[in-house]
Amino acid sequence: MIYFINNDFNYSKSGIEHAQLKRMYLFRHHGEPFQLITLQWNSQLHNILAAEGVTAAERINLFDYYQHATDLAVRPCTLADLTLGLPQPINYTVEATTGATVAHYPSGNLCARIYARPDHQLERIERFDDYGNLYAVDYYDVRGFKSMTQWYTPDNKIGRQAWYTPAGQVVLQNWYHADYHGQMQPTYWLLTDHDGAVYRFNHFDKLAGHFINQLNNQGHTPNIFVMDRSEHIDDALLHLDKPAYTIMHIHSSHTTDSQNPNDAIVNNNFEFGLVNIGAFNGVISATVKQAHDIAMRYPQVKHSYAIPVGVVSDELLAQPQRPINERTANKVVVLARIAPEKRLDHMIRAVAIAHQQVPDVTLDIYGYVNDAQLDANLHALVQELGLAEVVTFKGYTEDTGAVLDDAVAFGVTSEMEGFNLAVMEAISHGVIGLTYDVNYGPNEIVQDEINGYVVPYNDYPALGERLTTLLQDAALQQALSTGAYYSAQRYNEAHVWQAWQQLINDAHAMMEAH
Amino acid sequence: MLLYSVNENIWSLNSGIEYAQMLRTKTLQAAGYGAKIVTRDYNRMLSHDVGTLGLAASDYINMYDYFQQTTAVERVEQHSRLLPQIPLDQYHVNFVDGEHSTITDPNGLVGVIKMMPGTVGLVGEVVYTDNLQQPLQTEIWDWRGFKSKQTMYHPDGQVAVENYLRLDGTVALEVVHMWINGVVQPTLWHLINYRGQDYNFTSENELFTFFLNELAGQELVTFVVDRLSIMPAVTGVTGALAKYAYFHEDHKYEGGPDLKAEAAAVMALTPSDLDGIIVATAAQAADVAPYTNLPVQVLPSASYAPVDNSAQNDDLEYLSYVGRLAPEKQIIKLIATFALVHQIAPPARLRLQGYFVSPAYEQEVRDYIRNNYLDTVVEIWPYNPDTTALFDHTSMYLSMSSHEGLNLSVVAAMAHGIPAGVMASTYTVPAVVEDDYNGLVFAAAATPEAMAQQIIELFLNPSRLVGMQQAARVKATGYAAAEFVAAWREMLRIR
Repeated sequence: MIYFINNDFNYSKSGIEHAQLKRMYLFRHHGEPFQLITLQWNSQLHNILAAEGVTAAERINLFDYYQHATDLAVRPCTLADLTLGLPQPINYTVEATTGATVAHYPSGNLCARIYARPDHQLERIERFDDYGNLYAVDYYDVRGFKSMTQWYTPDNKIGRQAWYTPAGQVVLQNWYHADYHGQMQPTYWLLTDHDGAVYRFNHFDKLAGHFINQLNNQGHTPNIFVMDRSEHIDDALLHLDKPAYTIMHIHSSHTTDSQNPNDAIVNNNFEFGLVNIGAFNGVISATVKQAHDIAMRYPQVKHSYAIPVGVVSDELLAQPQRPINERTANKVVVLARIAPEKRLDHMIRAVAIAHQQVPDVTLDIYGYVNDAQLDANLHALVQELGLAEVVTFKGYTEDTGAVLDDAVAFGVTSEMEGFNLAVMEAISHGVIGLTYDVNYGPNEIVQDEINGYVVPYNDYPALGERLTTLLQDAALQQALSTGAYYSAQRYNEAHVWQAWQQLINDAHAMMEAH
Repeated sequence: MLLYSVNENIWSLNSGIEYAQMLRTKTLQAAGYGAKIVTRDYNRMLSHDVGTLGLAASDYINMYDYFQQTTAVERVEQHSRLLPQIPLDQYHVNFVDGEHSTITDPNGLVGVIKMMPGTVGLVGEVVYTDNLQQPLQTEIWDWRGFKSKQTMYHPDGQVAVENYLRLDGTVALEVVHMWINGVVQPTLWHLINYRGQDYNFTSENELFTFFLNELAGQELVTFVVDRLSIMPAVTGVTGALAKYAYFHEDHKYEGGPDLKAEAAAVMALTPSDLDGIIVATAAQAADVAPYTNLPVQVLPSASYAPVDNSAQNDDLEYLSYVGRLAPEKQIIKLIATFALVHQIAPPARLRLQGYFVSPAYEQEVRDYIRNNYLDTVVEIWPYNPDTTALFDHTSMYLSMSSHEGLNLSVVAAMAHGIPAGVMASTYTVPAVVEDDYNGLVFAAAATPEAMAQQIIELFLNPSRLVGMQQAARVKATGYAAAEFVAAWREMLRIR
């Protein structure tokens, strides 16, 4: 089995989750079994992953596993299922201040405050004794069972958390104790394993290690672990009972200064893994350039794989190319969050340069606002440069395909990147790339004079000049757009799948050698 | 139709109350009537302790067993080194002594295993701790070899939650400990998924009332409460055929006119709460009646079969006492009286059978024996509900306790043909002991010298003694099973 390890999975996804989803699609499409491992307890996990098309068989969560709830059908569990220990029927009311449904003891004291999800499934219940103490909060899984209880101390702090099987057995507990500063911190874990054995761990990472080791011991075929996030699990992968093929996946620049891959301080997320990288079987980067840089800096690396984190679907590649003259003339787009590291001010200044020669150039910026102050600053800059009619902040869009099909060029002026799926998507729609020579992704996906231009890092005047030249030459635009369509083939399914197959073949070869 | 004799608990060391419940239950069962003892308290040793009273699982029902669905569990011997929950490939289990072992891993202490009392190596508790021995969770095993209860702790070490478990590990009852006026104590008994529903209670007695009503809902039952402390839980029971309180003790405090608080509370109840009070003697019934509006009835507290005591003769051999060894039983006075008898009749010996109520009192009694050079003539026998051996070669039963209900041990002695010497102030007189007929009655103010004198005089008159022995047997026949069952049947028919 090949496992993809993440810490958690939520509705708001970062690039790592997007990369995993695309990879899972690829594996599913090629009939190669896989499982997504997540470590954190998440009462909505089933719905979150179901919405992404991930089936129960394709995922395994640490808590689900020990709670005997890995493959559980959704069943209704609503207010009607509660008895709360009160005389029946319960006279429920809605509490004005919280909007919660509440029930009272015959004494008139509050017994329970109940929160339900929009689909009426129970979400959580705050439980009070008849003396006014909040003593516990029950949390329900979206599949319809009481999954966890937080037990409170008399002074209203969490003292212990307990997780249940759907049948109601307590199988996992986590105690809290006051630290040196008097703050309550999670301390010991007590696990009742499937065979009834009870284990005590003094840290979550030890529990996670026990879990990953147990998964590895179960497999009859060689297991591959791809660690997409290192937290809680990087140490455990170094201490498995049985051999497995362990891979560290780097989803961002491995150094704090991405332009200095050899000497800069290593990104905190990757430091432990990279220092110990010789004990892993390999490392995956999303680009050839980063794979090379890592191999240079860490000669003990056994395999440094370059596997794109994005896939351009065969359906998209099969679509007819859209000629430049059918697109809005001189339309430039950016797909990026309004965030400092995207340095959108550079892009606006580059467009300002082009605007001097190409009066009808427009720049549409698509992306949600991460930083409101920055957003205001960028708007002010647009006014200052007299580009109010040129630059438009469009906000976040789901329909990037339509946007890209109508654009001529797109720009990247980021400080650093890990891959940048938006760039890959842009070229696959025949949009011409203009980017800084920024690690990692844009300077590899965009190929100078083939599908766009790569200008020196931070040199927005150069970017502005390239844009001017491009927008004044329709034939050049069509040549580079056609180049973009062709260059997207590098990320077609077959190509990316081939890269994964190489890794899988290496794993089998290693395991056979054992 | 079932008679439930209600109690808090059955202990490893019991008093006459539990003994009376056992005899009542056995006697009624033998006569074909349904009878059981019902207890309230959680007691993981219960199935063991009832054995000392000769009771089987079918003779009693405990509230916790009932809700934990463990009333009919056969005992298995769960050795502490064969516990499936302790993975021996990960943990060292280190023998410390016969009472406990430690569980350790390379990081240090993981927990402690405490052995089941009175066993070699069977698991009694597993305590999971932090590295510095502060408990996180205590798991308690029942004598029958299953994990019965978990106690979890607040960060400051006080009990936070007690989980009472079913055999499948699900929680049947959780008891929550939180603040009442800033003091951590039980605030909620939360019964979980009992017949498909949860129930909340604010006290153990409330839960007990619910439990008794559940029993009452299953067949026609009558409750007889033998420990008055538990009465408040029983008055709330609505589904029973009838409810009675049995006064096994004097309803007044020793040496005064004041009513005992628990007895007074029962006597103040109305017929809607309680159907009546039962006492063992007509004399006590007459004394109780003026204090209460409830009917007061006399019913024997136990039955005894006559015992052939072939070893008995008219020599003065053993003087015997059986019962709790407690200050109010006047054990020192009893020994002092015996010492004077022994001076005049050197072959005389004294046997005391029972348990001391405190180490301090045991020390006091043993010091008294040693200081009076009586070590070789006073024997202290351990607690044993069986008195057969004790009464062998016993010439006279002695009790110096001045305030008692009917003393069952006196009846037991008489069944062996043994006359008894008791204080006039107890309800054993005249119901069981009649002076100079089947025993000696000592005046309340009698000194040890006076009582010793009465005893010596009796044994100097063999014909008088033989007459008393015969009279004792006759008296005991009044407590035969047939009479007992007839009397109780009469009572049970009242409704």
